[in-house]
Amino acid sequence: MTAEALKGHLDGLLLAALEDQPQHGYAVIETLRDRSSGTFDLPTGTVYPALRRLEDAGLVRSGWSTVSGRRRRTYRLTAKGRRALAGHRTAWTDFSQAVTGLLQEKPWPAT
Amino acid sequence: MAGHLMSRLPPLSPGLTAYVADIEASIPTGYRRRDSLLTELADGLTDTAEHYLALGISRPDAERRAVNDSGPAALVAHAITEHLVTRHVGRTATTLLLTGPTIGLLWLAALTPGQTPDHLLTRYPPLIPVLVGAVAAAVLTLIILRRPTRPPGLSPRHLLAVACVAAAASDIFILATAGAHATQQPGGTLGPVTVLAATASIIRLSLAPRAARLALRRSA
Repeated sequence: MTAEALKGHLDGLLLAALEDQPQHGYAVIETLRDRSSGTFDLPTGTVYPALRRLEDAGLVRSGWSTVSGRRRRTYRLTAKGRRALAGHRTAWTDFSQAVTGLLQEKPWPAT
Repeated sequence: MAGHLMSRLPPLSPGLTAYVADIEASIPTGYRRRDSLLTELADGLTDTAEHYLALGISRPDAERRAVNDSGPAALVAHAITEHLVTRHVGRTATTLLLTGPTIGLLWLAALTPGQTPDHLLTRYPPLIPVLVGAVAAAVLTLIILRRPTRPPGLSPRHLLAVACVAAAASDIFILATAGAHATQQPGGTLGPVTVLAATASIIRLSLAPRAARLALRRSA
């Protein structure tokens, strides 16, 4: 799936990737890829500015930590981020049900 | 061409260094967070390459895949630049709105002591359109930045540049007015409030044009 197709959903996906535990940028990207079975194959270099944007909005908090001798920036969901994620989930459920209702094939009418 | 940051990044293999240097060269300088975002990107590339190495892929191939996963250098540079500029625009608009009243009150106390704020404006009418323009442009900038979609024809970058220019114009006007005022008073000395107000205006005047330039930059 291209980055264009993910437009509008990226924030919700990034928040969902951080829901279970704090993660650094690369781990967030791996989570997106693994949980979508490789469907969400967006340019990983664009994920870092997206995470910083979420941080500016107060949805995640980040800090540098040293892991295996390397400095890494780790992101964690804030309370505001959890509320935003819940909002994304509700919006997505409503949207997907509406689209499914329209796009799914209808059975042939009984004669 | 490698930029100033490359020497400070964690050691990268040549294949990754060229890619990060490409991105760095395309991101304008002068923004806070620029270096930390590039460091994070370099760190992620190393992680990706190590992931492929662990799968038994040769180092050159692992690095090529890491670069491929990250995306074209121009695309990544554009995403980082957009984030940096948007952040700069939002912070500058907020700073203008927060510092404006303080500077205004200082000048009120310096030029028309004991009067209400409207007195300063009625005494110096050219300030009215300039200040209204600065505040309106800064407020509009923040409103647009918070909207998920941008209204056509209204760019927060350009609105912020207008706010900065208007703020600088008000500073020039008020400094010139205060200067003229001071020279008309024979043997008069500047009071501490006037010095404070002038210092605040000079600081804003020196920062506003740079802030406007940074807002209007795009990735190279």
